[in-house]
Amino acid sequence: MHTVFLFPGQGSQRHDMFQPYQGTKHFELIKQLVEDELQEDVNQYTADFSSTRHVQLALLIVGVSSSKQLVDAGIRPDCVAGHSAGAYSAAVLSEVLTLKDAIRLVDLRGRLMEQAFPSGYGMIAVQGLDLNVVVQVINAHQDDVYLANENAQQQVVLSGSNTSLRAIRHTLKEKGARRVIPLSVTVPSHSPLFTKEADQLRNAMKNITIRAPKLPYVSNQTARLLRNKEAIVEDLAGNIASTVKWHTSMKMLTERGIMNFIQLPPGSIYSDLLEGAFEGIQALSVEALSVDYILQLVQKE
Amino acid sequence: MSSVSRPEHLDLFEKGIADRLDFSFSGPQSTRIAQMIEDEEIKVGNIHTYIELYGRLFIDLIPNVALVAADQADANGNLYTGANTEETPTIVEATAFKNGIVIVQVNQIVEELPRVDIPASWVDVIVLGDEPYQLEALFTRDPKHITEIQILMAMLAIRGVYEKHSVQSLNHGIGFNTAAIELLLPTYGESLNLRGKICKHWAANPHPTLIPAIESGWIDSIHSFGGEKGMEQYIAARPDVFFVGSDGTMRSNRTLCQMAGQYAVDLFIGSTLQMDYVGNSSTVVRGRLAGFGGAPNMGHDPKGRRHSTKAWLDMKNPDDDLIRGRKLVVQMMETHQPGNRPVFVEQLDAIAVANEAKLDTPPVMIYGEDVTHLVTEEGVAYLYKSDSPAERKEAIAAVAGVTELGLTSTPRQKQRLREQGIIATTDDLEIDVKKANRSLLAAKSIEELVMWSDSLYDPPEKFRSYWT
Repeated sequence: MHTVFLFPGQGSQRHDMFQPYQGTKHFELIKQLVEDELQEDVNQYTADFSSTRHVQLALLIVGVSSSKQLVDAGIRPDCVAGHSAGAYSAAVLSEVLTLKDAIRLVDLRGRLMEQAFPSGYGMIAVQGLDLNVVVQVINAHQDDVYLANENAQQQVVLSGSNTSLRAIRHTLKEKGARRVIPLSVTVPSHSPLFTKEADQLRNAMKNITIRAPKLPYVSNQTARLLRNKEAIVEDLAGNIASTVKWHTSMKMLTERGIMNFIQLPPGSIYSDLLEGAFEGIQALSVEALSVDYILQLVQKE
Repeated sequence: MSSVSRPEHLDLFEKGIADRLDFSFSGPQSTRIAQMIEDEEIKVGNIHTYIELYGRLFIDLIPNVALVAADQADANGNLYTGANTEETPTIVEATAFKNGIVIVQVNQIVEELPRVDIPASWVDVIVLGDEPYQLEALFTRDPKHITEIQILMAMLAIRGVYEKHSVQSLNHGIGFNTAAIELLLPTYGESLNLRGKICKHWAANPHPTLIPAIESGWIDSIHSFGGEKGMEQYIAARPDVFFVGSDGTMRSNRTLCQMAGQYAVDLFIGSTLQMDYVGNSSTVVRGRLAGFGGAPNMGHDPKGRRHSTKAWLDMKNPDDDLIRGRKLVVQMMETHQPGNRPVFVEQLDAIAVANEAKLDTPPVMIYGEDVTHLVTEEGVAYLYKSDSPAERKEAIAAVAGVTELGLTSTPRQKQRLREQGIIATTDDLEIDVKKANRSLLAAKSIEELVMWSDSLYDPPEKFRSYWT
């Protein structure tokens, strides 16, 4: 096992993210499919990011088009990992979900998240404080604050009500956090506040045909490599209600001998996080490097 | 299996080929092994000290089949294992003499071996590998990354422990803290006029950072657990210091070196990720089960020791007529890990990990009762002098800095502990803090280590990439 594809989640979106793929084979196919299924113009997704549904659908479109383009160019992953909403793109590439089902599920996921918490909730990023110390602070805290993402050993995201997040901010600073940054997100993703919505997604997934993965899939919830289709579907449905164990997943992949971590667009935050975090790996951003160059680097291994 | 270090080792369990594991070290697979234990894909017998595991190979874990690697075999099946002999003879002996089957992967089959490390009559099957077995530089620490705090702590250790007790023989692990000590011997150590008085005999891997001390005449002998990539030619040129065969290459032996490090040296020094308030320490933290390497063997007092040295006798209980010394077990670490994580914790994660993984005993690396000294950037705590658990905790707190434990220590307590000689600060030890900077390192880069070695040290590629 040498190569993994990393699919970004929310936070990586950019208004021009479709631009490099306009007119390419996979993008146009997916665009058509989305427009047929949902009866709407995909360009509104990248125009208006105030809707999480828009953002998630845009990420699916770019994640799937860009990864299929890489595969066509001869860059084949040995496994796939998607961060939060990015997991749906990963599931499409591993062929657990059809693209059509993924579109419907991401659309539903977006709707459920928008309906659930109209206001008063959010997320904060905490930098420069060890993950274990943050967990201690959360456990000692009375209010509803949850560990949403462990992105790196010293970079995590918390979810909760704005009041609780304001209250915990002070303690985190006191314990030595370098920065505590409110994110422009209006929902408490990856927390038990989404248990009901996770159940609704589970129900929706009962009615679709799922297939055995062609590529092993990295679980958001458990940081395990999954080869079983039921476990993958459970991860897709349940991940909005539990912590994304991204850092542990990356560590697990390095221990399995993965050397090439290829981040798909948009952005480069996941490949940036890996730089310096692990020895002896290549963290490559598709957005920053040409496909030919990536192919060269991957074949060198 | 003493060291779980390759993905394939755990794949055996994932594929259901194996299900029970007794081991010592799993650093390179620490996350995955923790996951697999939690998922019950692996049943752990025990996490052993090395010598304990090697011992059990002859008692109740006798191998039926052993799979080992060697550099070369001859037509008769004799093996050359060279610098990387490590525990191979122990495993092969336990297998071959109790009806087991010994299967060896070799890099090469040759007419004549440089020397015989394992005789043919102990070997059943030889397989010629299609590529050489993997060998990585594990003990090389680039001096470039040594910080000024580490240099200050190294000064505290040299002055407050090594010099104070005239430490003659010792083990160093692989951390940057101890690399800093090694690189301060020819500079700071020399300025204290300590050459020939401390650090003469070592049970240690051939760390490249030892080169300046060797070249400056500090070191009489080094016996090693294993080899180190890039050090081959340098070692061949220094048979006066290293254990080298008549063929000119080093012979390592992990079993014997661990035993030497346990029984025959004055001092063990190491670092930890967590220490509780009475001095128990562990590198096992939640979600990561790394095992311990050599620390638990060498980091404890072997109570059967008889031979005496000044350092050993310094640890004796002055009220005991049966004069018995103790091994010096030194823990050396900064009070905070990166990300402001305090090293000092009320309870070790190891206790929760043992519960989750259903282990009989928590994986403690070094037990508090064995720790004689603690060195942090705040000073040295002479824990062997404390005579109650409460005083021990006070002494640890006094050097615990701005951690929850450290903040319990009052200025009055600290003053009393200093007067009793239970703790010592840089002032007490007359250390000039201003001198604690990188210019004090005998070598500040890998390149300078190469120069010290007269170009005999040949660093692996990954340490060369910085060169211009």
